[in-house]
Amino acid sequence: MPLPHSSCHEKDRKGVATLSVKKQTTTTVTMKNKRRYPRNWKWGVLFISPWILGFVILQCYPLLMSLYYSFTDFSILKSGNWVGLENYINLFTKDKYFWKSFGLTIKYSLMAVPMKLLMALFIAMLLNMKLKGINLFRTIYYLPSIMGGSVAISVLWKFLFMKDGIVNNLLSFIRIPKVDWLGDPKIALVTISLLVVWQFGSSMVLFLAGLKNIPTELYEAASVDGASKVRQFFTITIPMLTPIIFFNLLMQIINALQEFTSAFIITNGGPNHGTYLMGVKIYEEAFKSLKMGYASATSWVLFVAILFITVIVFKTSDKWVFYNDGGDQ
Amino acid sequence: MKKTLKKGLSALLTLTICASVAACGTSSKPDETVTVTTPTVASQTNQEGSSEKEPIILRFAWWGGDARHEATLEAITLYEERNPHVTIEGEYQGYDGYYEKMMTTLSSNTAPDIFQFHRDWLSDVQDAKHYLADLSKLPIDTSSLKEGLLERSGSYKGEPILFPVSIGSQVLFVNTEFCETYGIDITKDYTWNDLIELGRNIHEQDPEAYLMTADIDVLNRLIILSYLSQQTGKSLVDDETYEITFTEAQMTEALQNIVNLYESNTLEPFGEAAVFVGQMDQNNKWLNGKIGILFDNTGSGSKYTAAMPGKIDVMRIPTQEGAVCSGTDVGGNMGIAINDNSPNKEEAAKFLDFMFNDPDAIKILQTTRGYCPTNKAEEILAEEGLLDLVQKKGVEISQNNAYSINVISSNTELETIRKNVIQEVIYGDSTPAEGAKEIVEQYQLILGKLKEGK
Repeated sequence: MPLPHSSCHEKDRKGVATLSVKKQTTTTVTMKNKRRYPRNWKWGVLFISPWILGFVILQCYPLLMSLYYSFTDFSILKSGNWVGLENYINLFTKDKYFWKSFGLTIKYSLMAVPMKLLMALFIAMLLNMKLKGINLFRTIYYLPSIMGGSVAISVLWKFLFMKDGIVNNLLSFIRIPKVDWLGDPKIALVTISLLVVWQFGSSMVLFLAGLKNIPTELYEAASVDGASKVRQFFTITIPMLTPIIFFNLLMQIINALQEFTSAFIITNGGPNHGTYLMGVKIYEEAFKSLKMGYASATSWVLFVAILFITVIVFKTSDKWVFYNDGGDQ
Repeated sequence: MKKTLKKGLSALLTLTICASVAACGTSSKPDETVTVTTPTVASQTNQEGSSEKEPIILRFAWWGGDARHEATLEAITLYEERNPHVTIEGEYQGYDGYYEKMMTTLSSNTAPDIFQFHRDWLSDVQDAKHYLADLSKLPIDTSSLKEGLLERSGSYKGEPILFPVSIGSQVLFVNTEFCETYGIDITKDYTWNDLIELGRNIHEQDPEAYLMTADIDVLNRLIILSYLSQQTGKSLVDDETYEITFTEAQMTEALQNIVNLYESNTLEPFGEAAVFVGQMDQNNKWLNGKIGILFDNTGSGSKYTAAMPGKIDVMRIPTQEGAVCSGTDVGGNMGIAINDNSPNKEEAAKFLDFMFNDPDAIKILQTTRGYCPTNKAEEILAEEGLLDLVQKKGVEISQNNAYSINVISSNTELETIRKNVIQEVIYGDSTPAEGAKEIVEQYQLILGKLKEGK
């Protein structure tokens, strides 16, 4: 074992004693002049430069430009003049539909996110069973989320939930009266959140991975102690899954608050603004009313709201998320 | 054996997933936008002035249904045969989203050289910048258009910038079998109240049936405007003074009329009809003969007759006591415009001239864009027996005592306010009186601003 190189100071001050202590170590500690970056850092930068370019041009630049536009009255067809905070003030005080839209978006998220996570967890638990052909089922249950929030699926949803559509026809077989899924402003919001729930695939896959990571010894020990399956679920499964629940919750909240496709295609923000989510509002202001500056301001307000909610979720996570490796504590 | 089955199944599933990932990237709507090269590829005639022409590429955008797309593509092919140095790239799609696309491409200077356009959008666009070319300065013969059509429906601030491709009006399209069943006389002039009574009776007889259906655009652009103009004889806004031409009381009555249409079950419930917004011809109650009448522009005639051949006829729109005019806006609300920034304006104008003044093109395009805007087209198509008789009748019966909507009345902001108020009134969030008050207040605010910028 080569002797470790101790620093010059140490050698002078501690001399023989230091060396004898260090003789017993079995690890090799080489200390040389530490570089700040690896020698070939320029190659690293070169390799990530396509991504950096893409990020700057396609994400950073539009982001900053939209912040600039939010202080102007840019209208797509003609360049805008600086108006300062006028857009923001009008949004909060004069826009008839802003608070309604904001409220609807929050309501939609409060419905869609828990439903989706519960569904994903339930299906993940089913798919965790050791059955023949379980892999096939796992793939099939994941398919809806690939087809995703596309226009085609939204059009399909429209025809499923029409007053004379398939869903109502099926309900009539079990003697339930027809529901106006898309025509009643109060029910329409629920209907479009069902579409998001149907795409639980990605959350489900993460839950499945999480379930697989729970040591079976815990369940065995609990069974030996006489805990029921239900008890085991609440005291073992859920706590062990909390990191994944936290991640899924966060991602789904962020997505739900920005939802556009389903509300736009299925009900076009209606009827009577019943599904007038912020995503739809921003689109209409920008491209139908041609008020790009105003729409930019609206989207920055939404951004700040999402940021705020995300921070709250993070802050509360200390209380309920349990990390196996002790987390950041 | 089991192993190969497993492998085969996994391969199949992988393919399915790959296919859906690939497919999900594209929209399901019939958007067949062709990718294009920029107009700068086309060059001007070379300096030596030789007779060999430089190749020109034109981009032509339009919206419509399959019938219109096929006919237009055929006309394009014919033009290209006669003018080998010209290539025309068609960018066509359905109506949904066309306006938004057009606005963004105009502002980013990537708009096509020649494109279909709506009269209602002229003020939005031309007020911002001189986006549309002055047709009087281009090689196109506009004198063939029917009298007054260009001035009424294609000019803005004195400049002709839109070539009207149709002359149309509003009518009621009727299902003849439905009319026979319920004893509706299509030659009679019904009032709104007559129709409401009729609608009430019909729904009582058959709870699945309704006399009419309408989506928000029909209510907002056709029904309420016809009701108001029957009282005022004019467009909503005076284009000289930028003042509204109706009173709050008149607007209240117009909104109340809509409420009555729903309360009596004359109109199919709003929420149910909303599924088919922009596609009334696909409403399954209409297709199954449970709805008898649709209020629409004559130009839509071809899609109704295509879906239900032999069963469609037309009648005049409902009128009211003391009506000052018929309530129909006769003119062309659709046309073709030329991009003022295009380097190939002259060629684009020649192509436009070909489409509507050349006899062969007329025979190909027929009435896919609406009823003939020129007398020449009418004669040629009548001779060949290609005239859409339903559309022809529709235009004839509704021409009398008509008025014409001016460009400023179709301003998008004004329309949006009306649209929102109508929905609130239908759902009971506002009374007709409250709705009317809001419309008047908002209109005066917006018109005031527009007047300043005039």
